[in-house]
Amino acid sequence: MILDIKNISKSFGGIRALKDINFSVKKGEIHALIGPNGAGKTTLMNIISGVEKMDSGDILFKGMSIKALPPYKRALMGLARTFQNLEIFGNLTILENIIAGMYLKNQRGFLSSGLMIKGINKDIIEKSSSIIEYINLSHRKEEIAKNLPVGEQRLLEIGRALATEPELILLDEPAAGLNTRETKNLSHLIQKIRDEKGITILIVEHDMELVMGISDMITVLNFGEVIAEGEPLMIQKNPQVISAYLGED
Amino acid sequence: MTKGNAIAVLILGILIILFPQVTSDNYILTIGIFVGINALVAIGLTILMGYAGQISLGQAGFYGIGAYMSAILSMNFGLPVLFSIIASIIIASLTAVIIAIPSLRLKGHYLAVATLGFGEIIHIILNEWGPGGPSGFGDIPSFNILGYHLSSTVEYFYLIWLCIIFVMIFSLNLIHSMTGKALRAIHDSEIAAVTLGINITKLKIKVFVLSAAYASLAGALYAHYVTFLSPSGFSLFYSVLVLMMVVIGGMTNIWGAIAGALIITILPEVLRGFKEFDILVYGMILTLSLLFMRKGIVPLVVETYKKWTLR
Repeated sequence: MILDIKNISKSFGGIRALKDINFSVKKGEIHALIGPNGAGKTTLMNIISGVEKMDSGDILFKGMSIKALPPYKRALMGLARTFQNLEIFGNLTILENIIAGMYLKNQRGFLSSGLMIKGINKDIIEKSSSIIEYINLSHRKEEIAKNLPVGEQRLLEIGRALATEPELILLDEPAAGLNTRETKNLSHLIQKIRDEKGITILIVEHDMELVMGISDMITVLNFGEVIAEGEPLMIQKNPQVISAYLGED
Repeated sequence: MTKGNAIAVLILGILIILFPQVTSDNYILTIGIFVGINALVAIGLTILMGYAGQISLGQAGFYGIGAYMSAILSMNFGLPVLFSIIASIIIASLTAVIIAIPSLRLKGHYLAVATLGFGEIIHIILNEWGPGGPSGFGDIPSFNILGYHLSSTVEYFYLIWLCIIFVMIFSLNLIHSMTGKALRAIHDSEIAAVTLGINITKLKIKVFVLSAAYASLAGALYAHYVTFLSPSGFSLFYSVLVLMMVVIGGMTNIWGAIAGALIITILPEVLRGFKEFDILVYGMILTLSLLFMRKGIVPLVVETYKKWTLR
């Protein structure tokens, strides 16, 4: 297990967004987190990546508790993420966005940065370029990121996450706003990341075709609680899941 | 540093060497010195605002700390001027760390007000406890190194612009490094930056300290050049003036700081001919340039040049 979610609870004011959540993500798998709107999926993503605090519970990443670590330290351990409401670096080019992602593995001090004439070396540029090729954005390399269409911005976020050389990527609704063709390409890319790079993926997504097509395991949330867990075929037949999505008769 | 920037630094260097050969007019050279002093402060603020996206309205505070500390240390404690300048930069930098830790948690207008408050506190301290109080003090030793006293305006001109060359090289290297990319990442999205492993708190503090160090260096050079200090030059007005330089020059390009300092420093001199209407024309030029050159002069020139060469 690469990620263990243990008894996580979170309230906003009087509303309990997450109630005693437990599940585990197996290394090398694509694990989907689904549920109706307001089920608490994004809150859970924020808690795992550290940008939001939980009320109680624990998170084990590679067997170590990370609940006390700030987000940047979790990233250093190999945890990367993308955002539902795109958080690209809009004024940077595609290449610069990816280079910013590579900062984690190529940090330099403030002073040595200022004293070093050479700046960013060829190795970093080459690595960044190969990531851009991997996400099929080579034709956009020098463009300013905010000018890209939504679909390509989503790819850019995935590329930027890959640049940190993570072991686990959290994808928060990567298919939102994509058309059918783009969604298909996305599902290929996600599978490629798992199969070729061996990176584990935890994905939150509403597009059921995408989720059922690529997931090894699915956890279903409803009103802040886990109501089902299993392989795609099992989940599709689960009466509790069906009633959560379609409402009860 | 990119090739284009290296060439630009070289051209700047040549211009600096040639300038006093072209004119030996002390008045013009003196203006050149003040352009340089202001540019030093503006370069720091450009990195802070244009690259890291953090605003400061307290640069006059660091400028004042640099000037007063270096003056007092060399005058009352007999420290050689070179060391008093270095000591004043260290003091200003430490002050910046103390100020940065609580105030960089704030954003936008709140950060502006917090830094403004800091600047005013320094101004009041200089007024109340500074030597000579509001009327200031003189007899500050002029700049000297290894027993050699800089006396002529030309020598000071070279000294200050030599400092700018070093500061520009350091700053350009920084901006084009991984750290520079991280700073710009913080500007665009703090939440994304932090999930990419960038320690944004630490970086923000460091860049704030850098801007304070540049401002205090400028202040110290100012003190040993004019050899007289009074608190009036270190008020909020100066912070706003530097902000103007950065905005008019163009804060997305570090060369904008020098261009902005040049324009804002020279403008009042050029407008002398308008006599009592000078402040009116000054205001109009600033308003119009902000209306029609939102991005500032240098980015505008760079864009226009790129369009021309692509044709």
